[in-house]
Amino acid sequence: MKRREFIILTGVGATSAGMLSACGHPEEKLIPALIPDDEYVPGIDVWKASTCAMCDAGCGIVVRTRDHKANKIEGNPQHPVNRGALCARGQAGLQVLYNPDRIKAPMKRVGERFSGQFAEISWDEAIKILADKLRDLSAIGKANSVHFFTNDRRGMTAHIATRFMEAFGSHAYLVNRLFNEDSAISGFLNSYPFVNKPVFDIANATFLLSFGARFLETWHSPILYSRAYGDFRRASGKVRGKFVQVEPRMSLTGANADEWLPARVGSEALVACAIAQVILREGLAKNTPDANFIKSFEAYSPENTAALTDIAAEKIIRIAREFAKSDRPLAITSSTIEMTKSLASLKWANFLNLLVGNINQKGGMLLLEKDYTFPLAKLDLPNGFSNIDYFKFPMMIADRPCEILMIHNFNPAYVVPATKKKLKTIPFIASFSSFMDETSELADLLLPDHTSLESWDINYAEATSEFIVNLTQPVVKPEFNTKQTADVFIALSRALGDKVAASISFSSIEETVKQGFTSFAKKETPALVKKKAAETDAEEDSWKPLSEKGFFINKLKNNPAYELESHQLLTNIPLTDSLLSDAYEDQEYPFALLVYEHPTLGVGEQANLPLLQELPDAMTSVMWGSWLEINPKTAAQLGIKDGDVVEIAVEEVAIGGDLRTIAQFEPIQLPAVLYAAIRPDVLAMPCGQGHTAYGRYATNKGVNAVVFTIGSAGNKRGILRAKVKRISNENKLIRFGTNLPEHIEIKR
Amino acid sequence: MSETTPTNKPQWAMVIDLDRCTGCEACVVACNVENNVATVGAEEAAKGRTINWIRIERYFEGEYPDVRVKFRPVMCQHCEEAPCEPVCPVYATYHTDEGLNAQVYNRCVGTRYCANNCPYTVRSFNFFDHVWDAPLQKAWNPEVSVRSRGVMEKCTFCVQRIKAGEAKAKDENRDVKDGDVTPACVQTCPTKAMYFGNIADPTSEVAKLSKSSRATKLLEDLGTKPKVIYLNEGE
Ligand code: SF4
Ligand code: SF4
Repeated sequence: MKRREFIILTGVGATSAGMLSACGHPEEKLIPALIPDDEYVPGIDVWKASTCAMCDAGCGIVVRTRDHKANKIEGNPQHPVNRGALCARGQAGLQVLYNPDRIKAPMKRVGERFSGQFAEISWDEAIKILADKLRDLSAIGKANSVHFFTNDRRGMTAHIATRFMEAFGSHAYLVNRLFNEDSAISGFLNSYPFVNKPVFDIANATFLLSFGARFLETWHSPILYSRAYGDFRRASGKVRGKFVQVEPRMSLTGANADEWLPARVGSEALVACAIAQVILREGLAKNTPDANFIKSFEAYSPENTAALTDIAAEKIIRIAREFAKSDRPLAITSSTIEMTKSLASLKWANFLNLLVGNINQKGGMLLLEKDYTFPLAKLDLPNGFSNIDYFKFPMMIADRPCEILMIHNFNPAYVVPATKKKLKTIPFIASFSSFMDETSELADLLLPDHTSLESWDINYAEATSEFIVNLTQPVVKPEFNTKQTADVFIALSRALGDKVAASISFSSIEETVKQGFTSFAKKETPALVKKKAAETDAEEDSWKPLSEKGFFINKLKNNPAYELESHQLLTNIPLTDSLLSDAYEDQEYPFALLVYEHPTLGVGEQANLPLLQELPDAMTSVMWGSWLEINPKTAAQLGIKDGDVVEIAVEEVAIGGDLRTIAQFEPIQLPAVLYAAIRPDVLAMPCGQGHTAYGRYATNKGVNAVVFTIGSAGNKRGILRAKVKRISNENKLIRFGTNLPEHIEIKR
Repeated sequence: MSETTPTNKPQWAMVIDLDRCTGCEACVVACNVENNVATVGAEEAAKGRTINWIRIERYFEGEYPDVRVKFRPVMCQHCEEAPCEPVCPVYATYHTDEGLNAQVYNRCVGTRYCANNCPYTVRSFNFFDHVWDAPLQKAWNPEVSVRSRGVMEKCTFCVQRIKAGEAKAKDENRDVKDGDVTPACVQTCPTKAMYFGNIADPTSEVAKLSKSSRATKLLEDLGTKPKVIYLNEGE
């Protein structure tokens, strides 16, 4: 590799290259993931490419290491998703690796069950314990009472586990994200199997209409879309784009909009319909459905729907005109449970895209052909696995015999505390979590996984018209005596022998990843592999250049067939939604409650990182805790001041206006934040806190809001209604900037 | 305040495009990691003792439903006429000939006069020795010293990266140019809202952007001559 390329690759260049120039060309030896001690140069920076694991977006990273320690993560400047940038979560990644509360070695329970007392054992012993249990069950024909759950949606754990579990005679399940944007999107596109997940060309749009899509924080790919947003605003030679956000509570994303439309909770789809109706009646549509449809659609006029959406008809008409007349209009929407009736809004927002004809156009919605092959196909891994939604877990373990529960990085005891009771009836629990979370506390055996910066893996990401295969490789040696879960499965399969052993042919996850990545890359990007291989010795062949780069690209085609279909799609949309029928008043529970994903703590997975706990929330400045957002006018009526402790009681009612209660929750207390940008009839609280375990930084901070989203235990999903009252004025909020003058404890 | 002597050294400056900034705070975390900025924990944070080299200010404008929000990243403004410098009795905070407002940690005696005199409240004081629960300290950047109790600290424009960039330019026998020095916040910013460079070089990006009609400086009328330039929204 030429030095110049190396500098570009490593991004910072400055630090590393300045030092490297003094000592020949050590960079030739720098990149391979694990450098033997005798080749390590003390005091020299070594950069290693890998993939960020802090969310599912799959940004490329380069990690600066020196003297076997990782000391900074940067975005990989070549990576098409993030082009050198990283978000707040990604920047905090080192605190996962060096977290003091990691499980440091395999352990078995020594005290009473659920006492949380464990003693360290060897890996051999740990694997033997689990293998013996599995063998015994299998011998009495109960193999199908063993269940494996993982929420590792990105990588190979689920594949390897699926292979293992199927050979053993049971199943592995992949748990979807709680705030899942993907499954609903694929649901919407199911009738179009030739397309991949859509990508939205925000950078080139001139008018962006977003229905609750928090694309700068948690939606699909936060950095990809933040980069696009920067250019949407100010790319040279392009007009400054206009951005309108429709959502009842202004998110960080909404805070960046030029206009915020606080529509009633659950009425986003209606707003989209009203806008569409104006576009149709004023003849502004590029594609038009048939006359019958347009006629029946009159019911959705802004005049008819204003009372339901609480957005004045004039405003809707103005925005509809601006949107349709803009050069490159684009509508996007969230499909998570943060939004009631998200599927309807998904449908009607995309209806807008069809009307203005932006499919596969510059600045529009890009549907990409699904023509890639699965990168690990060669290794004969299963192509599909069983996905389940987060909230279905309690039902699943209640429904079927369960003798052994194996659980990996998924924490039901936190997400659905009510399942703790059921979990305790399971005779044996093995946890693969890297941290002592609420579920691992209940376990009998701990088999701690490596963290991502110590692991081997392959996963994917999508960026505008490109499909990217990402490599995860260790940037440092394992910090503790942990073992990658995939390798544990390999060891288990060997211990069980027979057809289980035969189910996994390779000997380690490292070998699998190297082989799989190289063979696929050779096929997809032969030029890169060949050119680079010629520069290095034959033995190192194609692996080294790939591992230096950390990813490779498979270009996707926009699907030409889609254009033909879109007109057809327009006429196929049935008007069956009961959108017009379900506004109601509820005297006892007067507020709608929104529970949303915390921009940096997520759904609690990142609550154990001090950097993110102490990062003031961008909209409220709160650190280290939870809060309830209330409109200041509402708060004044209830006598609630900023910082007061309030109590909220929450119930879930069925959708459809029949007011049938389907779940009721224990009231909880937390501090109130007077929030200027929320509807007066809405309360909102972030997820992320309220852990009772998961290390010193996460434990006993704030309250757990996730519980409300799982209330109906996987049955029909409803709407959350709440009432709130003031409890005390004891200010427990920890906020940045509000108390800057020094607090003096002892009078002098 | 320093006598301004003519110099051919680079003059470091930053430009922040507020129209691109989304308030995502990636820059804040990047800064904390690069510069070994300590986390103080919930209890001390409640007393207002967090350490912040860069913060995102947030302004709500208007009343419901016509609310708009603005964000502004604020760090040490590296004022040419820095109010913090003349009040330091031990010359721990001073101006370099490259336009940096520097802080010598082992000279600082903790009077906190500088923080009192900074109109931008960007200086943080170490009220106690920080605990880094092992092995968190393994992530320390070896290029940046870790500050102890009784010492004032603040943004350095990532002086360690400046030094490395200058060394590299010198090795190659040329002047520094755009791209040689990228502070941690600038490098990570997802929307590319931040620019950094030598404002004395008229061809540099920051020099060009600083002439934009959108350019403003924070509390400019105080006469501090900040080296951080903000580009407002709008055309
Ligand atoms: S967007 Fe996701 S993948 Fe990208 S840096 Fe942030 S956490 Fe990592
Ligand atoms: S990283 Fe960039 S967009 Fe995010 S807050 Fe900082 S300056 Fe603004």
